Amino acid sequence: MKRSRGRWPDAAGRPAARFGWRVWLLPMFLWPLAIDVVTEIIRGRPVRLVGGVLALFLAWKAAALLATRSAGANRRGAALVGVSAGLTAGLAAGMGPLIAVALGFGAWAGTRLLTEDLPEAPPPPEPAPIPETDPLAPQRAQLQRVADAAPALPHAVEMGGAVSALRDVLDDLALRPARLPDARRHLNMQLDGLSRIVDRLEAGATPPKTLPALLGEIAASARRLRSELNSAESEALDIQVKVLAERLRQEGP
Amino acid sequence: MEIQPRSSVLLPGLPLPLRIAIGFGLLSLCLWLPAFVAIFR
Repeated sequence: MKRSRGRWPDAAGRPAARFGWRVWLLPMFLWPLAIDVVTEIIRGRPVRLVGGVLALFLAWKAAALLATRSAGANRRGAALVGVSAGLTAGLAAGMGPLIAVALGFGAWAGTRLLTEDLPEAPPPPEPAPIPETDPLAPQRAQLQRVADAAPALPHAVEMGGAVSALRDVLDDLALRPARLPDARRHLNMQLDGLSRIVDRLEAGATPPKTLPALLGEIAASARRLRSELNSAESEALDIQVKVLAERLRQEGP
Repeated sequence: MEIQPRSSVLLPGLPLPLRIAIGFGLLSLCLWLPAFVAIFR
């Protein structure tokens, strides 16, 4: 009996098979039926043969189910043994439906008494919810690195302006993720360019005279991108309003 | 957390050996009787 208790599910979360004697006793009860199956084959009585084979199969399935010790296995296994006994009596032995039901009920109750205290594994825990990923996380990280490095570099004011403008674009895109595919290429180009400039300046490069103008252009371009995003939203709203007004006009009273 | 054996629902308060004996008897009756009838009928 000790073998039938307390084994934990394996690494994959499947419950370990429980080959306790109380479980494998169940199909052993059916050995006379195995003899009957052979007898029916010899005598050539197909209905009884089918009943016997089905009963044997169900009893074996019941034991296998009980051995899984999964949640609810004890209850379902007992029901299968009951059906198996009913089939044996009703089909294989031809004892009539009432007796078959009574014997099925008795087999169910007997199996419950034998196995109902056997421990079942708790139902598998709910899968952990997948954490929401920020699609703009890499861009935010890139921008933060630039923002952190900017104060110690030449042209910090212009660089701060570019960073601020790009951050506004990211904030807008976070509110309207549907626009992200349109803006991603442009945004990545600006962020990559800015990151490379910061890398060079941190490595000690002397900034060219055109750098402030370029930083100003990046800031202006980011503002334009933001403005385009806004106008695209406005256009979408305009179209929605027109479509709704048209439908109201057509379907209204 | 340890998986604990559960108490009986069908016959609460019955000792385990007695429960197993009754279960064994019921199963013997309900499975062997029709099986032997099937053989000798």
